[in-house]
Amino acid sequence: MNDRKQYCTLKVGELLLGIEVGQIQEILRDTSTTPVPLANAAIRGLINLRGQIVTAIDLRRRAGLEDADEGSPFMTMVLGSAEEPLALVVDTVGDVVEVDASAFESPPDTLKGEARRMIEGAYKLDRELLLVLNLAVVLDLKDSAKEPVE
Amino acid sequence: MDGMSAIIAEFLAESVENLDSMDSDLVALEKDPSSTEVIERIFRTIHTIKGTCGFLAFGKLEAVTHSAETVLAHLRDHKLELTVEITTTLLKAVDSVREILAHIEEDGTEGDGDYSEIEKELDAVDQSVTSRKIETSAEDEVGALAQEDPDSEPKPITTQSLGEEVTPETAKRDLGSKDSNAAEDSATPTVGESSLRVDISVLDLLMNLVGELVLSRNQISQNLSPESDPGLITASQQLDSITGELQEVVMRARMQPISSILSTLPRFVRDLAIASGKEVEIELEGQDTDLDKSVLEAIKTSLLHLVRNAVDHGIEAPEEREAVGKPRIGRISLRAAHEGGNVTIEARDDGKGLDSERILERALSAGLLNSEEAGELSRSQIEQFVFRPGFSTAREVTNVSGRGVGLDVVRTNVESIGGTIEMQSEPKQSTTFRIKIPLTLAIVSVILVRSGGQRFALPQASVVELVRLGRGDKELGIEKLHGVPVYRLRGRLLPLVTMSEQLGLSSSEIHQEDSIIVLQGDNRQFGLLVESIDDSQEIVVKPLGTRLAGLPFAGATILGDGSITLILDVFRIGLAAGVVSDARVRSLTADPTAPSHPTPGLKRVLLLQGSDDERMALDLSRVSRLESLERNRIEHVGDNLVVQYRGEILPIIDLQRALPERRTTRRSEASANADEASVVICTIEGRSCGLLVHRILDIVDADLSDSTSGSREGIQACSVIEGRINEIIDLAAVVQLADPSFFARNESTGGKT
Repeated sequence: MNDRKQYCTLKVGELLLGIEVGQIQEILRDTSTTPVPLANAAIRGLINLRGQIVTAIDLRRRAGLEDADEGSPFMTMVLGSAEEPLALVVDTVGDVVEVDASAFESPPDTLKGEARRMIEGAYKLDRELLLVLNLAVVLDLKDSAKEPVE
Repeated sequence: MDGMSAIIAEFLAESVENLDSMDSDLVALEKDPSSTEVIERIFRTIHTIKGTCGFLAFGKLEAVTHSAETVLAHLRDHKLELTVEITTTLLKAVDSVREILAHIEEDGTEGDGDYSEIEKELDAVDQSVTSRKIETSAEDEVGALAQEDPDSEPKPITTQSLGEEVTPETAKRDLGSKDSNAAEDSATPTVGESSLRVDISVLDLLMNLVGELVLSRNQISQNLSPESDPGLITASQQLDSITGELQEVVMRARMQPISSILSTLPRFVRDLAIASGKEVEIELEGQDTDLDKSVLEAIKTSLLHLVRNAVDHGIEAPEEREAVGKPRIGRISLRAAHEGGNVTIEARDDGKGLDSERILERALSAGLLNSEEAGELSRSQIEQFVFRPGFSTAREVTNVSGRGVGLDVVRTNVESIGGTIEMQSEPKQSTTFRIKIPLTLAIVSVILVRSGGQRFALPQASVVELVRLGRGDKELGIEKLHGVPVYRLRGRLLPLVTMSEQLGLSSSEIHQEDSIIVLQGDNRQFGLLVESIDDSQEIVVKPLGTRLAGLPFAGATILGDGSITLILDVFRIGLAAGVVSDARVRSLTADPTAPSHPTPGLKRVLLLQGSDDERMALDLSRVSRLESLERNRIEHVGDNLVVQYRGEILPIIDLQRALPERRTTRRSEASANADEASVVICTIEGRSCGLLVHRILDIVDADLSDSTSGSREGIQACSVIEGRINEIIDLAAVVQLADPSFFARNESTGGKT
C-alpha cells in the first residue's frame, strides 16, 4: 500500500509551496493586520481572530522575497498546531493535492539562502514542483533576520 | 483507575493546604506551648495524612507521619515540653512529607528519597519520653505505647484515665483515637459545604470568556445609534449591566486572601532567625486582604525577599539590640490593606536601618557618582542607591551595611505588575518598605493615544498627568537642552520622548505631536510626546506571542471596533529612550538627559526675583528640588523656621531676611500674604535646607566669568544674566548668616565630611 499525503498548496511569488493539511486550522481572506513597531521584519502584525490575537508572519518577507505591490491581494493561513496562535500571510492559497509519500525528494539545488533552509523537500506534480515547507524553521524567527541571503 | 487518581489528587490538594497552615501552627505553638487547640489541629493534620496514605499504600509517607504523630501525641499529652529542637525536628518532618507529596504529584510514586534519618530523629524524641516514663509510672508507659501504635485495639482507656484526670480534652482525644484508622472521619477538617475546589485553569478560561463578552458588548453598544430599534437598545443596556456584574463576580472568584502567601512567613522567619543567631518575631496584619491570584504569584518572591532582608540585615543580634536599649526580640511587621483600587503592603522591621555612609562609600567606589555630587545628596537620595541593579551584589556592602540583596529585582518585579515600591529608613530605628499594587492584572484602564498614525494604549496607572500644548505654546514649552527635548513643567525640567521616534514610526506631517503624557517609570518622570490623546477605556489585556517578546509592549487588546491595539510598556520605552535607566540619582542637577556642567564657562543657575524686583541667581548644582509649599506649613521653632517635608524636619531660611539689607526702602509684603511659598530645597554639606524666596523665575545657563565681587554679605558676586544684573548667592554664607549653628549641628550629628 502506498502512503498518501495531503498538502495544501500556496503561492508566494513564483514558488509553489505545500503545508500538510493537518497543520492548518483555517484560511482567511482580507484580514486587517495591526503592525507591531520594532518587531522582527518577518512579522506582518496582529490579527483579531474572533477575539484571539494571532501573530501573522509574512512568508514573502520570511523567505527573503520582495514585498508584493501595495494593495495586491493576500490570504492568511491560520496554523492549528503551534503552541501559540500563529498565521502565515501568503499570496494565494490553492488546492489540496494528494501525493505519494514515496515520491518525496530532496529540495532542488537551485534554491538558495533562507528559502532553502525553509524547504523540507519536494514532490514532482504533473506540471510543477511542490516544495514542502518545514514549519519549524519557518516559524523560528530568532536568527532569520540576521541570516545573510546568499 | 480514574477514581483512584481523583482520590489521590484530592488527598494531595488537601494535604498541601493543611501542611502550609501547619508550619505557622508549629511556630505559634513554640511561642505558646499550652495551646491545646493548636496542637489538636496539628495532630489532626498529620493523623489524616497518615490514615489516608496507609489506605493509598504510600509506605514511606506513612512511616514519617507515624513517627511525627507519636511525638505530637506526647506533646498533646503534656508528656513532652516543646523545645526549639523538637520544633525544628517536626518542621523537618513536615518538609519531608511535603517532599514526598510533591513526588507523588509528579509521578505517582513516593520517590527514592531516604527519610530514615528524620524518622530516627523523631523516634529519638519519642524514646526520651518513653524511657523517662518507664521510670515514673507504669500507666503512662502503657499510654505512650498505645499512642505509638494507635492501631492496637482495644484502647487502654481505663488505664489512662486512672493516671490522669478526665478532662474534656482527654475525652475528646480518646474519641479521636478510637477511629484512628478511618481515613475520613468527622474529626477531619473537610471543606465546608459552602465552598468548592475549582481548577485554576477553569477560572482562567472563565476570565478569558468574560473578557470576550466585554468586547462583544462594546461592539454592540458602539453599533447602536439613537435611531436603533428600542427593543434592541433596552436589551443592549441590560447586556451591559449583566456583563459588568459578571465581570466583577468572576474577578472576585479569582481573588485569594493574601494569607495564602503570608502563612509561610512565620516559619520562614523562624528558620532564618535561628540560622543567623537572631531572635525575630513576625507580625502579620490584614491577612484577609484579597488579591488576584496572578498578582499574588507575582509579589510572592518579592515579599520573601524583603522579609529575608529584614532578618539578615535589618534586625541586629540580640546582644547588640540589648546594648542599644532595644528589646531582645526583633520585630518584623507586615501589613496588607486595601486602598482605593490598590493594595498596599507594608513591611517594617525595627532593626538598624540603613547605613547611608556605607552606601555612599560603595556608590562612590562603584563610580555611580563622583565625590562632588556625593556631598550634595540628601540621606534619602543616598538610600535610593540600594535599588540600583548591581549595587546589591557587592558583598562588602551587603555584609556590613547593607540591605541591598536584589532590591532592584524586587523593584522590577513590583513595577512589572504596575506597582510601586517606596522605602523609608530611620537610622538605628527601623526600615519600612511600602509596596502598592493593583488588585488585578487582567483588566486595566488605559489611555488611548495616537502616534505615527497608529493607536496605542498606555496603562493609566503609570500616567501622572496629561499636558496639551496649544499651537502657540509649542515653541514656548519644548526646548532643546544639549540636543534632548525637555519641557518645563512648573519649574521642573521634564525630559521628553517622542513616541513615534522611539517606535521607529514615521511621524506624519499632518499630525504634529502636540500632547505630552507625563509618565512615571522607575521612580522617574518623563514626558511622552504623542499626536493626540483620544480616550480612556477599560480593556482586557491579552498576552503577546513569544515572537514579540523583548519589545516595549506589555500586551495587546481588542477594542470595541474589533481593532487590535498594542499596550505600551512604559518602563521599557523609557529605558530604550535612556530616560529611566541612567545611573544618576534623580534630581534637577542630575537630570539624566543633561550633564550637570554643560559647557565650560557656562554654569546653570536658578534665577530668583527678590521682593524689590532685584534679581538673584543660585548655582543649580546646589538645588535638589523646587517646591511650592503652603505657607501655614512653615512653623517657628525658637528663632528658626522649619517645615515638615517628606518625613523630615527641614530648616527653612528666609532669603530676604538672611541677607543684610542694602537700603531701607519699602519691602513689599505681597509674598508674605500669599498662601503659597516658593521654596528652593538645597543641599549643603550633605544636609538639606529650604530657601524661602520671593519668586522663582527660570533656569538658565549663564556665563559667570565676567562678574564683579559682591556688594554685601552672602553674595558671592554680581553678574549680568539675560541683560540684568544678578546677585550670585553664596549659599554657605547665607546659611551661616541665618543660622550660625547650622554647620556646628552638622558635625555633632555625625554627618558626612
